[in-house]
Amino acid sequence: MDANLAIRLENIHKQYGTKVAVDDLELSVPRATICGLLGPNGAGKTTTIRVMLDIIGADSGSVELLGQPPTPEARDRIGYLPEERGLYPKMKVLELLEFLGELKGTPRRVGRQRARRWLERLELDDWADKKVQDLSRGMQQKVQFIGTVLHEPELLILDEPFSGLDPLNVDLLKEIVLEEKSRGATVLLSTHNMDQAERLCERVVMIKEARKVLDGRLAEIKREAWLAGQRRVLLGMEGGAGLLDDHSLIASVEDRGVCFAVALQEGVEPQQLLEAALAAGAIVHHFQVSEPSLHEIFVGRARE
Amino acid sequence: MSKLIAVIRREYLVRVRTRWFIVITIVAPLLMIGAMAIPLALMVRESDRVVSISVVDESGQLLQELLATEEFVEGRLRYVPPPGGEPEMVVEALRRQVLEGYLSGFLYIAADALEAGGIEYWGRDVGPTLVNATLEPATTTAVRRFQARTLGLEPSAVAQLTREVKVAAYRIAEEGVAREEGQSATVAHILALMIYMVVLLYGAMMLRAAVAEKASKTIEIILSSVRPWQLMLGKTLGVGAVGLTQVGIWLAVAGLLLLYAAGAQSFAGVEFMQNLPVGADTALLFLGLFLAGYFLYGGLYASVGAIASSEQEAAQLQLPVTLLVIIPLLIIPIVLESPTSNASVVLSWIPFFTPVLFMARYALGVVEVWEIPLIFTLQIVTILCVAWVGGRIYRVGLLMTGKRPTLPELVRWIRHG
Repeated sequence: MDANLAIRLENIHKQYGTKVAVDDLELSVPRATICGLLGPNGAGKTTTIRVMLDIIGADSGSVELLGQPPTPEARDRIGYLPEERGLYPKMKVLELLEFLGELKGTPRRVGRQRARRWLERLELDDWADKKVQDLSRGMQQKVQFIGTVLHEPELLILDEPFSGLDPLNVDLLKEIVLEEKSRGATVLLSTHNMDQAERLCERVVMIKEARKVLDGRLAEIKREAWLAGQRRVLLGMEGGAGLLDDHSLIASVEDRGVCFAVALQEGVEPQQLLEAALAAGAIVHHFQVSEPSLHEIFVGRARE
Repeated sequence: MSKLIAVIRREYLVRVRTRWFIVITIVAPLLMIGAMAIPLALMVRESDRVVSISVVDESGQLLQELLATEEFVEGRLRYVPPPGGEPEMVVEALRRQVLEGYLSGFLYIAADALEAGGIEYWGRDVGPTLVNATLEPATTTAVRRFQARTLGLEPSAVAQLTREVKVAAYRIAEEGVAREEGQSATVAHILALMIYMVVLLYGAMMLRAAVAEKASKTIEIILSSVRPWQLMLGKTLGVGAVGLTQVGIWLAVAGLLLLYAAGAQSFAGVEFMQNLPVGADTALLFLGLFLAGYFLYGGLYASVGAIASSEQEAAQLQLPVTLLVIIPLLIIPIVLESPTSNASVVLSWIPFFTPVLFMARYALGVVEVWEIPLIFTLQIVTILCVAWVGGRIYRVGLLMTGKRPTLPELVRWIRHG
């Protein structure tokens, strides 16, 4: 037992017939962090989450959530937004939220007050007494999100929370996720959107073909990828003709209008390119060493 | 526990608040009353109706006797003299009158009718109430009286000889209350049909309830908060409470109506209403059998719902269960005919048939006291078996969508679920 960990999985193994869905997975997520759970389709993310929440049983291994096994009491401290969205279509929004709160042990009256506040925050207060089926998909998704956070969970497991929302709502939800974190909640964020993961997560875990292939702090992962990979530079300059054709320095160039996106040859440091540009008499007005994006790291790992 | 109550509450409210619930609550008893009242009203009208018939008497000897029978004297049959002329012409004329609606029909008494005993009736309505219960007694009496008189008997002796003997049938019931045969059979039939109706109604409701989470894709959220058994138990109790509410309303309304009927003497002219043999004991057994039948069939329907991934699919899959409900409906006539036969008794013990058939036998008053604990024990054991199997199917089936399981897969679910 480790009370500092929000999630601890050990040797989780789950098989459907002959297909291995999760293969000997270990996972530790410290409290009060946002951790990305990444991986291509069918990698085993959803199964991992379901095992974690004891919706399905693992063949072997142990699960610890918030420092205890996934008992009903522990599950009441968790909010889960599944990827497959769904709400009872015939229920009124407010009643549905009360019900979802009750299922997590929140008394109905408390749930009702909190639901009203949340509906206001997410600009749905006019819809409180409407039936779910009268709401647009985006609105339903927001209602479902409220259902996930209504009982003020200590651990939030969000599966693709932003998909299908317009940019304004994406920003709104992101803001709320960050607030939840500063409230002390831990967030496990499963997503395919690398941009969002990169902006929100301090840690990432990547699963591929039922196995973990990446796990750690995002900054360290990026640094490692940067050290191991090709250098990329954004270079904006006047003059210096001929420099870009120097294949001893440059592997490839892409003209982006204002600057050139330059990939350097292996072993060449950005500093060398800058020196060469100045030597060639160019006036450099933009020089930026680009970090490897999570997207590149993900694609690289997924293709391995 | 509070979660279970939350599930029960949701399942209950979501159904009781629908327009459907209100409509069914009001319409079903109206239909039931209609189903009871229409044949009754028809019977009453039938017996009050005056049937105008003509008589062609080629023997020339029976007409006087016939007109002196009580059927004609009391006015249930009204005599219309036939037109004169040749017999064929008369028959043809009467035929036309019947077709045109001036006459209900006519009796044709052949010249040798007294020796051969053959009398014909030609008419639009040749139903048993008219032919067997009215015309036959009338003609029989007429023939007997004529023959008795030709033997030279005194008119009083003739009356003695030809007096009809009525046999009133009473069934011996356990409580020592004798009930008239026809009534208790009707009541038994109605109660059995009602049990069938409510079990089917709420069983099918359970089918839709079981598939609701899969159809609305809420199952994962729900299962991250409650256990499958809590969900299924909550649903069963919630839908059952809906059924109890509705049946309770119906029984209360029926009780009030009966009180009113008993109180209103003018209305009590209809003998049927006067001494309906539905006591509190019958109502109690009705509730018990309804609950048992609901849990039994609700469990079966829920298992079917768990296999399906949409309401449409569930509707297709429910057929075997619905057939099982219909079988006792087909057996009811056998039980009504001979409720004490071994076949009837044993059939009414078979758990899947008990709610309908035992209800019928009880209403007929042929149930032994020791049978009641026996059948309820059988019911409970079967319900537990169904719940065990259904629970396993439900647990595995909940997260399965898309592909419908094959039979071997289903067996695997039950064994490992």
